[in-house]
Order: sequence, then C-alpha cells, then structure tokens
Amino acid sequence: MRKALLLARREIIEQYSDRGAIIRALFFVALPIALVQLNGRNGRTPDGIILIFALQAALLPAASAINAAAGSFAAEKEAQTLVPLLAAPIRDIDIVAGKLLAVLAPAAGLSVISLAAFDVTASATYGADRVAGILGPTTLYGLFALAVFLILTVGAWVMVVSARVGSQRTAQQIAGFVLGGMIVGLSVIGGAIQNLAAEAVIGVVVAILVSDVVALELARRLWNREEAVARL
Amino acid sequence: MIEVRDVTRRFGSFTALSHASFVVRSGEIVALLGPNGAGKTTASRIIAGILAPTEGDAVVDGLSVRQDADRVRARCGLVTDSPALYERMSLRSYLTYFARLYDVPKPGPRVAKLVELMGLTAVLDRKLAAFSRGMKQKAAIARALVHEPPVLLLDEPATALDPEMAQALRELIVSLRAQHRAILLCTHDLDEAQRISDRVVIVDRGRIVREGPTQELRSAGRPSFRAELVADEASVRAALETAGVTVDGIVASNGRLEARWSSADPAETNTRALRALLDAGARVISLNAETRSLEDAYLAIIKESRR
Repeated sequence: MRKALLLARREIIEQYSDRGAIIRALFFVALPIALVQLNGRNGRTPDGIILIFALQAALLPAASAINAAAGSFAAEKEAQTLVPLLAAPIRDIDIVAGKLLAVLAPAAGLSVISLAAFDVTASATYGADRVAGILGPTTLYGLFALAVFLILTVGAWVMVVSARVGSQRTAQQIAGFVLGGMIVGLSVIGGAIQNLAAEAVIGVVVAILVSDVVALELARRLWNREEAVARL
Repeated sequence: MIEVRDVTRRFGSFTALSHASFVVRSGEIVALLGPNGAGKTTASRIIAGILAPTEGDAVVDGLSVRQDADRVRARCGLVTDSPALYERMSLRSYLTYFARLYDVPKPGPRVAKLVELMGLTAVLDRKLAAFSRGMKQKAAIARALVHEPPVLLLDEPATALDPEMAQALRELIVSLRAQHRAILLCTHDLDEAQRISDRVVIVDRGRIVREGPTQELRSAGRPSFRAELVADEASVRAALETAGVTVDGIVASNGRLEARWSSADPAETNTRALRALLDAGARVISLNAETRSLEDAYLAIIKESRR
C-alpha cells in the first residue's frame, strides 16, 4: 500500500501542476455557487431545487476525475513512461490502486469543498435555518458518499477506456462521452429527487454501486502488467 | 547472471520470440543484435519481469521470472530507447521517487552519488523537461541504476544521441561491466556492439540464429588476406593461379598492387602464394589477414538464416 500511496502522490502533483486542471477544478466548485446566486434573485425557491443544487455541488467535481483518469494511463502509454513503472517491483494491484487513488482523492476533496461552499452560499441566500432543514448532516454525508461512488465509477470506466486506446487524446474524447452520460445520469437523479421517487433514487445508487464493482474488476484485469505491456 | 532457457513468447497468433536460449554472465556485455521487430525488446521485457514467457523460463540472478517476477524486477535495471521520464519532475525528485519504489533505504546519498557519476550534479534541481536528449538518457540510466541492480538491460540506449554523447555512454557501459554487472545490450547499432560487447547473440524473426564471442563471429567463415606488392599485374595473377590460389581481386594503386584471396587453410595457401609471388619476381611489402567488420558478419549471418 505504501507504494500505491507513493504513486498516487506523484500523480496528484503531476495533475495539478497543470494550470488547466486547477481552472477546471475551480469551475466545478464555482458552478453550483453561481447557480444559487442567479436563482436567489428569482424570489422563493422550492426545497427540491436547493437539494438538486446541493447534489450538483457534490457530484460535479467528479467530472474533474474524468480528465485525470483519461490521462493517468493513456498519457503514460503515449509518453512511454509506463515501461519503467512496470519494470519496478510494484504489485499490479498497487499500480491500479495508486492510479485510482490519484483520481479519487482530489475529486473527493473538491466535492467536500464544493459542498461546504454551497452550504455557506445557500445559507446566506435562502436562510441558514431553512438550508439546515433541507441539508441535514445525514443528507450531506449521503451526498458525499454518492459523489465518492460516482467518482470511482467514472474513474474506473475511463481507466478501462484508456487501457484500450493508444493516445491520451482519444481517451479524453471517449471520456467526453462518459461525461455526457454522467450529466444524463445526474438529471435522472435530480428528477427522481424532485418527484420524491425514493425507489428511483435507491435504484440509481444501486446502479452506480454495481457499475463500480464491474468497472473496478475490469480495470484490475486490464491493468495487470502482462496486459498493459502487451498493448504498448 | 541472466539465463534465457528455451523462451517462446506469442502475442495471439504472432510469435515474437521462438525457443530462445542464451546466457549473460556477470561482468560481461552481451549484444543482442537483430533487425527491427526481430524480438529484441520482447526478450529484454521478459528478462525484466514485465512480460511473461509463453513457454520456457528466464532466470535472473538465480530467480525465475515465472515464479518470482517481483524479485526479478528488483534485480534488473531497464533502459529503453526513449528516456521515458516524468518531465515535470526535477531530477532529484524523479530519482528519489524511483529509489523509493525500489525500496532503497537511504535515497538521498544514493541519488547524490549517481548524479555525480553521470555528471548531472549541476542540474539536480532542474526540471527534466529542460534537459537535452543526452542528459535525459543519462537520467534514464541513473534511474535504472538507482537500486544498484546486478543486471542491466539496455534496449537501444544510444538511439538519437550525438556521436560524442554515444561515446560517453559506451564508456559508462564499459565501466558498469567492471562492477561485475551482467549487461544485455539490445541494439541494431553494430558499431556500438563491436566496440563494447564481449559476446553477440543474433536474433532474426524471433529465432536466435548465431551466438558467440564478438571476435569469433567477426573471423567466422573463410578468412581473407591482402598482399601489398611491387610487380606487374599479369605476372602476379598468373603466379597465383598457377599456385592454385583463388584470387578475389587485384587492384593497382600508387605504383603498387593489392592482391586479395581467401582460404580455409591459410598456412598452406599463404605459403604457396608467397612462394609463387617470389618466384615470379614480385617484391612483397606486406601480407595481412583481413578481419571482417561485425556488420559484414552480421549481414552474412542474417542472409544465411533467411535462405
């Protein structure tokens, strides 16, 4: 696990030494706050809309994970830096875990920052008591857990994609389609919450969990050393 | 020490390496020569423990790549044709990172020693992206040596280096041999192989077609000889033909003649040739054995293997 952490740390530093990555991350944090600000001027806002905004605040940072995941393996393949890494005495599982952690940790951190910033902004706009009533601690933890699962799903699926393609550009293009799918998914979750269809919400969460398991298993199989080198 | 034992590697229906066997001893440089796609990189990746053989086994420092790949990786240093560096990192953080991946107990002093060996101390804290191609390749070699491996696998290490840098690299490789490392040099640069390798393994289309000491390979086949003479061409040709010597060519230059012939039995043929030349009134300035370049030997072996 020590080597997975070492690998994740290097990846995170590499990702965020790119100014574009920081701007993208800030955009995802700022978007829900901007929505609150714009909506706050339109008189009374239903509780359901506030909940959807909170959901967006929690889940939108997952989008930043897409780029990181696309770059994680495809960019290494392209730059041929994967060979020295695979030649080092690191277990396959540590490589996959390190790469996933490098995708998960910053996106989850962003999700927490985004939720906190949204909570503060929403409290100032809609009133602290009202927001506390809608977004209790259980709801906030639930939203965060959902974000983590979604980041894992997105990260693992994009890693599966980047195992199959030869360039970072292609991986990012395909990741764009994943992002599209994610937006549709978020709309479904939003609609489900707004219509208070609890079964639908549970269904979506279960679907994300199943998707997590399938994607992680696929990523583990595709990113064993033997497969990775054979595809270089 | 590296022992490749009857290794075959297939990718689907394509056989990249077929029943390959060879040995690289400690303190020895073995050049694995072959055209592009011959199976050199596949062989080095199997030895490095990053690609499993389909059949056979490779033993590195007493450990099987099939059974102990992780420990094999810890004993190998691999340099590829491309430096493959994380270019946003500084040299210091890059080498320290790999030292930690290889469980080097005190990375700091090891990194300092390595950069001194490579002549990179002045750029230790500079980003790798700012390095020249030669410096990048040196950094890649430093990475491969960071855990002091007994086995070094160099896959086209001098690709795209200028002659001066290639020379420096050769000197470095030779100095590493003196530290009793087993060094496998995969290359199609025959000049490089001729200069530094102790033995040569020639691979073509996944099969090993010849193996032996570099000098032996160069002198393989019918040895040829060159005599420098003062005489007229017709009498020299007639004398040699009468003596039963098969003449490869006679060239006149600056008032002298160069006569060439080859023979599987030099002691017998050269004696007859010299006697005939002296009897014909020729003055013999010199008689030398001609050594084939490794390139000539290599091309002949590849041509023969494809017949």
